[in-house]
Amino acid sequence: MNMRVVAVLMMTVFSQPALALFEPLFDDGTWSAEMNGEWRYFNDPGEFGQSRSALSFSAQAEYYTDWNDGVDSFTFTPFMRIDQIDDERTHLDLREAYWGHVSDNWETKVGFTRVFWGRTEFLNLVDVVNQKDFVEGDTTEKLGQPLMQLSLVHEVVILDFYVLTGFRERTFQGEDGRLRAPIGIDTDNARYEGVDQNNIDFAVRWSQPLTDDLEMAFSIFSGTNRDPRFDFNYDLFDPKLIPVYTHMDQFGLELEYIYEGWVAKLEAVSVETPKESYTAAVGGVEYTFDGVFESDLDVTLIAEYLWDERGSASPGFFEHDLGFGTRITFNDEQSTEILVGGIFDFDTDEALYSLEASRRIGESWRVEILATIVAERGEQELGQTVSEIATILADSGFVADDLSAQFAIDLITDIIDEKGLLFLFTEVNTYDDFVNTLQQVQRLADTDRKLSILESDDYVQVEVKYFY
Amino acid sequence: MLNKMKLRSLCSSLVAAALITLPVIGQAETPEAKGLAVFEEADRRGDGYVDSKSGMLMILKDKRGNTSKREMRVKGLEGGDKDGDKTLMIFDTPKDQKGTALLTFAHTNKDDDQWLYLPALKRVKKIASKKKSGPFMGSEFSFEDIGGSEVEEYEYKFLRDETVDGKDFFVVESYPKDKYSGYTRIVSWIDKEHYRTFKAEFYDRKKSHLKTLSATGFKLYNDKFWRPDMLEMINHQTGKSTVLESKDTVFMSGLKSSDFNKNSLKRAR
Repeated sequence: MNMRVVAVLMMTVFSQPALALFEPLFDDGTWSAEMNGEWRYFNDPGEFGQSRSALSFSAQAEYYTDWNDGVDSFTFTPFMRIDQIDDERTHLDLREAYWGHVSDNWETKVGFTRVFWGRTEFLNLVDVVNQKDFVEGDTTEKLGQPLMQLSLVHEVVILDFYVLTGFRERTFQGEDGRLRAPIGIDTDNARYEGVDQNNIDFAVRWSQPLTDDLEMAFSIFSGTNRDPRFDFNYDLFDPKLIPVYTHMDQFGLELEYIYEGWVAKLEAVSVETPKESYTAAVGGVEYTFDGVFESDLDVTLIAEYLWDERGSASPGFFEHDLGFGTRITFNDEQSTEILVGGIFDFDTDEALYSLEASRRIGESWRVEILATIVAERGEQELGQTVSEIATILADSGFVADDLSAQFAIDLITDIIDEKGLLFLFTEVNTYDDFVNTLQQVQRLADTDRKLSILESDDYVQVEVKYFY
Repeated sequence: MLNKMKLRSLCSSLVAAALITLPVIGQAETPEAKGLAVFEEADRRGDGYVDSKSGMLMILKDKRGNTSKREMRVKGLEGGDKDGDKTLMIFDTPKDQKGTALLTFAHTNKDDDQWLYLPALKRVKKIASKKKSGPFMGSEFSFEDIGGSEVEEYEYKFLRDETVDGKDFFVVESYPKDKYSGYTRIVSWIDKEHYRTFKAEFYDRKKSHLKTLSATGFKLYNDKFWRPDMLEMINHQTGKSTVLESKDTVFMSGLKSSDFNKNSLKRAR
């Protein structure tokens, strides 16, 4: 679908009659580009036989032109990635392709673009306009969103209206990719429940400083939830998770208070979906020590608490976790930076550690190193027989949909009841596969061990970027 | 890297910090009053620029003579009676920082407001602004050098008259009141004719001579505003130096306050 949108837009822009109309767009513009060679090395071989090391290349170009003295502008930013092992990670996206128009106290954008909402460091709950480009690995990467935006400015108050004209499905790692879920995600057969695939969504954001030191933003989103739910396809020989997209209404609040070297931040959301309504929040503080040890170094300490009312039933990894981080800014000629952090769940002892470091080389190159470690908490007890697993699953509440849950239980019960069904498994190995699939479902169902699905995916990543 | 920039009204002041001027003063004043009068006049002469635009090239040199460059553009809007100056600074190189932009609202009676735009994330970050003494973009200029300052932020003392290369100068010492300043005192050479700072020596917290600034290539804009083409800051303790060249400076180009808000920060080019 992404590709189709890109293709249609390209055809529109480059067709002969259109070319005449769009010609001013190709006069006097400037191009810039970023090329990125990436190598990942995983500490363990993939649980599902995936490769330990992977090369990847990505490129993002940007074309910009403006006319009428900068009142009108056109920005075009295509993105491409080629991945050595993961077909799903090899992808094209139109990050931006929009016309912008600026007036004294309002401005507008029409086309594909990316929007950021939020304040906190570890997770941005309020940031829901764009779909995530999940395969990128960095959860802050987003797909371009087709939209119309009107932004009204009155002194320091900004009021943004968005009409989101088209939905983008989330990207997910493929079978051969690393950092994938234990059961593959069937992105070709995503389902829509109670929403159209091409629903038009709406969003509003009002941002305003309340005092000199306190900034606030309030946002409303009504449309297709960018976060899908997953259903199991109950095909025990070709197991898949089906992304299911539903409607969501979200109210978001952002607060940021700055005092001397302190910054206090909060993001909170209240969400209504056909299935549930809940609140979630991320809040915390950071403090910066300037010029530590009489050097040019700045050291920023960050602590945030991540909370979700649904507790372990929440689909995200972080529902009652503490995040800690230290950012070291060297303020040197090469803009060297190091960020070390960890997120800890004290109820389950799960922890995720990461280290990021980057430094410019010469005028046009930059090297970035990233390492991520998932700390486990002992072995998970997986059911060894079909009946054991069925019992565990029935109790897990994993399947949100009652009907399909019942179907799953019935199916498994039938299999157990009619032992004769075993004749289907002509070889003993097939029966093992069958149990294995159910064990993977059980892993996914274990909400106390969410990070366990990544436990063999500790890795180091080196990126070399060239800026043109 | 741009975290915590402290820069006040840049256009007027980057340069204006180096251009301090002096009123005609009475004979019987104390050295403190005479020093203050110099800086008050300097400030007065900088008034009325309305807005400005300029391009800047910064050349960083290390001890061994290796150089690296930074290019940026600066737009400034002069504040009114109640409002301080507004400044928008856009970085063009190094290329990995291209599109990064910094918006500053200077205030005379409270801390400045600063927002940094990170183009890769499309994110605007508010900056806690207490930092003054740290390096600006890895250069020998610190944020307080770049940011310029209000007259009230220092105490002054007139030292002596001095003639250098046939030019008459006032030599005035100033002492920052701000506890976050990296300096204990600054000695400035200000010419008697147009009250421009040709040279300044900066003394660090240990009171030793840290840096020397020299300004060259003064040009007169709009028949009123003197600006140097080139500033050079030499760090005597590290042997490094930074040259800052400005070009294409234009005053009163018709910038509006709507060119200085968070939306304009995001689309700055």
